[in-house]
Order: sequence, then structure tokens, then C-alpha cells
Amino acid sequence: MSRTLTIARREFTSLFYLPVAYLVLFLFLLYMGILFGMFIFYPGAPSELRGVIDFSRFGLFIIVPLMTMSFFADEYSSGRIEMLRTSPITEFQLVLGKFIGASLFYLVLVASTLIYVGLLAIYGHPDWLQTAASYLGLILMGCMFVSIGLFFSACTQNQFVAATASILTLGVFSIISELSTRLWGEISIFNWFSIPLRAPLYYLGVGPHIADFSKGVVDTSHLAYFLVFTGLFLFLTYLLLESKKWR
Amino acid sequence: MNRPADIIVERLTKTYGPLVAVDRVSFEVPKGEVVGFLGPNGAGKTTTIRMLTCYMPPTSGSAKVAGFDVFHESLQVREHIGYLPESTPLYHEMRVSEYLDFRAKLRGLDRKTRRKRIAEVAARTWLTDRLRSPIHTLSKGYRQRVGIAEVLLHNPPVLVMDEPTVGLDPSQIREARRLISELAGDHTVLLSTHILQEVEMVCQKVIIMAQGRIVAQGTPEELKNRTGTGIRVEVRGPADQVRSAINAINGVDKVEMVSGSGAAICVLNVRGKITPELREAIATTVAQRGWSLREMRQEGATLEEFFIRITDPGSIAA
Repeated sequence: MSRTLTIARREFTSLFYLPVAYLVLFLFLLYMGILFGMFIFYPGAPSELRGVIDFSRFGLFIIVPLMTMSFFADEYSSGRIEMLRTSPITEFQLVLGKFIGASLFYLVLVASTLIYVGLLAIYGHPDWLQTAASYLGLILMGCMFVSIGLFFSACTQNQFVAATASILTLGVFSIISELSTRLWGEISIFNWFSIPLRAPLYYLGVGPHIADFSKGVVDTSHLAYFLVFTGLFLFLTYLLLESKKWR
Repeated sequence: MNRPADIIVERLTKTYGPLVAVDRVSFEVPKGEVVGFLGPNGAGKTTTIRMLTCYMPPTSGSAKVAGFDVFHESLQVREHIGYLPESTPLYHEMRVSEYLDFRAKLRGLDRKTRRKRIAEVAARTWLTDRLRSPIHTLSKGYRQRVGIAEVLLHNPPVLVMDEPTVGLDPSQIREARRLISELAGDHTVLLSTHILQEVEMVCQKVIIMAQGRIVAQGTPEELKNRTGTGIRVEVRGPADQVRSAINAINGVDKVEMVSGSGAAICVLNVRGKITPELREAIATTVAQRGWSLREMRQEGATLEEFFIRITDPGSIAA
């Protein structure tokens, strides 16, 4: 475990030396600030973070890949992967360490929005439990996005390819629920057998899952959704690294 | 020679589809020896090294490093090996001390040991005054030293270095060679290099690879002698008679006519087991027949000659 944390700590601290991390920080603050101004900071608005949390994914699906794109791609292109692979750490420790490092940086981003909570508390009476649930949702969603970003970073040694692929994938996850209500409802095979599509696509998306958190509902099915996708992509990243050995 | 070997490689093979990169390679490196690993580019040296350091698994065959199997006991092998890859990959945004600390932590050293070892290896690799410098500000030579420092951190019994002296200036190269020579005894070192003088200076044994196979191994002296250079003899006398007379001497394998067939002066190249007695025997023979010996010179063998000859694609195919 300590070696995993060694990796995590190095990744976390190194991000502060990378210009792209400051771009990420800037974009995140800008986007969250705009959302806050739009949904909350006007007279008569309800004193809750709901709109900000619900819409945060439409910014995060671009911001998180910018943060994670270099995590493995840069190790491949610089040849450092050879150094890491020949160190006495397992592939699993490497993946988990990088995930923890990236998630910690994401937590720093999220922590920077606490200033809005302060403003809410000054100008209104927010429901603290709802606020806590909102933050839990925001953090879980970020972890899932980080995990998907890491997976695509491990796919290629080109950071831009990694970023593009993760942005596309996260974009689909972010918007598929909203699209599914407008798209075709089912796939029909020769009018004989039909597969319902609307509900699976709706629940595949992040939207309905984050919406409950922002309302203050912590439902195990939504918890499971984020944890399963986070775990799945971490596992896929691990498999990918293992399989690269044999090529 | 009865000491157990630290690196044992048996019929190690790596194929990439139809391409055979390493073809049934077997060798041993005894404990405490420095072994030079030579070969032209693309000979399969780096692939072999990568299999030994558990970067990639072999297609077939086996290898043991420090008593552990590279495939089944990969983590233990990686604990006991210090590997300096060819490109010396480093995290450029980190300071030298931070990087060494990170590497030492990955090796599982505790805080006290880390501080002690970093100071020690920094002193050994002349890095002490640069410990606070960010790696991206260092020159190629300094980065190479960081790489060398890093492999020594956990004091591993086995060191594998892929061209460690590339990028160093001449005085640093000399220092690095001295360092590697000092490491012999306590450490087993597999040193991949293109620089043949380096091998002669620091290695007790040489392994030469070409086209995925081992084409020669032995001490530098043995290999030099195997070049089979001979004694050059210049004699005033009838060429054919001189030739047959020398050929009759005990210990001569072959006499080649270099020039002067039929002329008054002939130049011959005598091949065989070159001993001082042989030179004396040739001189006596020539004198007894009444010819005059104008010159006799033993041609110096170099590792370079041997290397060029042995790695020639034509000679491997044969």
C-alpha cells in the first residue's frame, strides 16, 4: 500500500509543476463560477447547489481529460514506463496510485468551490445534508471521469489522442440520458424481435444518477453506478497494462 | 569459478510474430563479475536485458536473476536488480533529491535508510552539489549520473546497465568506469555497451550477440586470441621452399603467402598457436637453411577486429 501511495503522491505533487494543471484549474473555476452566477447567485434563487451540480458534468467532461491525458501517455512516450515496470511494484499498484493521485487533484478542484457554499450560508439558509450529498455526488462523478480518462491515457502514447477519446466517451456519458428521451425508443429486428433502448440508454448516462445526489438523495443504486464504472475502468486500465507486456 | 551464478539464462527466446528478436540465448554471469554485453544495433541485446529485468516476458526459455525466476518471481527479481534503461528516463519536473527519494520509496526503503543511501550514492556519482537542482536543468551527463545513482540506491546484488557512459565527457567516462570496476565483487554487473575499450577495461567476461544469437563469449583475452592473427615473416629466399619449411614446424597451422611469390623476398603470414617458442623455431629454421630473416613481427590482436569479424552477417550465416 505504501508504494501505491508513493506513486499517488508523486503524481499529485507533479501536477502542480505542469502548466496544463493550471489550465484545468482555470477552466474549472471559470465554468463553476458561471454556473454559480447563472443558477444561484441572483435574488430569489433557492439556496441550494442543485443547478451547479447537475450541470457541472458538461464542463467536467472536457476538464477532467485535460488533467488525466498525460498520466500514462507521457510515461510511454518518455520511456519512463520501462523504469516503472521494472520497479518492484505491480501493475495494479501503479494504476491505483495514479488514480489516487489524479483524484486528489480533483478534490482540490472541488474544494475550491466551497467558497460558493460560504456565500450560500451568508445570504441564505442552505440544507447542509443536501449540500453534503451534492458534494458526494460531485466527487463520485469526478472519480468515474478520472478513471475513464486514465483508461484512455493508457491506450495511447499520444496525449491528444488520449484527451480526444476521453472527451468523446465522457461526452456520451454526460448527454446520453437527455438524448435517449428524444432518440428512437427501440431497435426492431424485422418487426419480430425488439430490444428496448430508451431506458438502458437513459440509465447509462450520468444525468439521472447525479440528479438524485444534488436533490439530497443518496440512493445505493446511484452509488453503485459511480463505483461500478470507476472500478470497471480501473480494471480495464490494469488489463491493458498487463496485456501490453505481451506485445 | 565455483561460485553460484547470479544471472542464469537458458534458451531464452523472444519472437515478435515471425521476427525472432532473441533466439535461444543461454549464458551465465557468475556472482561479483562484470560482464560486457556486446553486439551491433538490433542484435537483441536490449530485448534480452528487458526480459531479464521483467519488462517483458520471454516467449520461451527461462532466466534466473539473483536466484529468482523472471517469469514466476518477477517482483523478487525486480527487488534484487538495479536497471538503468538505455534512454535514462527521468521525471524532469522533479529535483534530483526528490526523484531519488521517490525511487527509494518505491524500493521500500525507510526514511532513515533513504536519507543515508541518497547521500552515499550522490557522493559516489558526484551529484552532491546538484541534489537541489530540478532535473530539467541538468545536462545529459548529469542526468546519466542521476540514472546511475538511482540503480545503486537499494544496493542491489545485480546491476544491469544499458550503455551507462553515453553522454558523459571523457573524464566522467573514466570515473564511471572506475565506479563500475569498484562495484565488481559486491555486485554482479551486466553492462551493455558499444564501446569496446570500455569492455577491455572493466569486464572480466564478454558476451557478443548478433542477429539474436550469442556468437561468442569468453574473457577479452580469449576472444582476442581467437582472432587468429599470426606472425608476419619477411624472408630473402625462394618463396615456395620457405613456405614448406615453415609449414613443417611443429605448432604451425597454416602459412599464407602475403606477397613475393617467386621473387627474391617473400612475405608470409604464419597462423597457429602463437608462442614465443614458435617465433624462435621460425628464426632457427630460416637461419639453418641459409636464408636471411629480414623481419618478424607478431600482429597485435584487438577486440575490435574480433568483434567486426564475428558479427559480420556473412560469417553468422555460415
